[in-house]
Amino acid sequence: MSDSTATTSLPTSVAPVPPGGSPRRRHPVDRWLLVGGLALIVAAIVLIVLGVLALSSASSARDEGARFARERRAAEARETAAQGDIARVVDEGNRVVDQIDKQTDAANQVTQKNDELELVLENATDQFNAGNESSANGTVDNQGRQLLTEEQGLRVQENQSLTEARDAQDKLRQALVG
Amino acid sequence: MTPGPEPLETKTDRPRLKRRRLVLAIASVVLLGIGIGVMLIGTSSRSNAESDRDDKREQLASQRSATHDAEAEAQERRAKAAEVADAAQTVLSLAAQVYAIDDQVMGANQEAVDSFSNPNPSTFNAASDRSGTLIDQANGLIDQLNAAIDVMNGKIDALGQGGTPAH
Repeated sequence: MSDSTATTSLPTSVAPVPPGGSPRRRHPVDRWLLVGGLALIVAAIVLIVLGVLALSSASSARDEGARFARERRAAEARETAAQGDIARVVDEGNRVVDQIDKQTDAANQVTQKNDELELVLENATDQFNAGNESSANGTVDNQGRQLLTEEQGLRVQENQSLTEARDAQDKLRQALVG
Repeated sequence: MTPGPEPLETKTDRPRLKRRRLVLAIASVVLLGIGIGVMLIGTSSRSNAESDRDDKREQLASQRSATHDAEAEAQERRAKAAEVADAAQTVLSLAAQVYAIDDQVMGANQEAVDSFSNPNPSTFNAASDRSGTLIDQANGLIDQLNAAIDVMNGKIDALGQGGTPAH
């Protein structure tokens, strides 16, 4: 084959070779890779920014939740204190009434002894008026003095009950002040 | 030998993907994956945190209501307990007066017992009369005392029952 024949048979699709370069052609996907890649990067950045904002928002919500929890615990403590206060006041009030009941019982026993003594003295007076002086004296000396002794013992209890009732009332007052 | 037809393109001439663009594409996909991951984690975390916060807010509101009720009730009970204390004060004051009169009654009774065997009955009679008078006084006070105890018992019942706190 001659040189002229070889020159005329070159394929027409081959790009002209740039001076000093290699004979390369651009791949058809090349452009799409560039455009698509850049678009994905932009989308990724947007997603990352939104994600970070969401994380920041979550952090704020957690802080707020922690604050709510602290406030709830404080309110709970106040409720517990109020309930304790109610229980204490009611207990002290009941104690006052119980002590007054005891004092009243003691006072009633004293009154009962007084009534018994009064009866003994009336009987003794009747015996005395009937001329039975020695029997009357014996009744008074025995039953009368015995009842007086018992009454003195009950008076001590009555006094103690009165003191305890006053103490209970003072404690109730203190509970109301405190 | 007759040479065959030459290939249209040699290996060097075929269109080639640029390596940088390929790397860019792969990196962008990876980055997108990271972005999706960050977005999902962030959204999920925010959703959980907000749900948790809302629960705690509701709990706080409920607790505040309960605390308000308890404090209102405590205040009400304190007022009632103060009424009990005042009623008890009246009872104790009357009881102390009865006790003092009882003291005098006992003195008169002692004198009556001691003077019973005395030939002169005037001392016994005077002591007995004094005792009777004192007992009448004590009975008058005891009536007042019983009325005061009834009032106090009503107050203590009200204290024990409490009431509906005001909102």
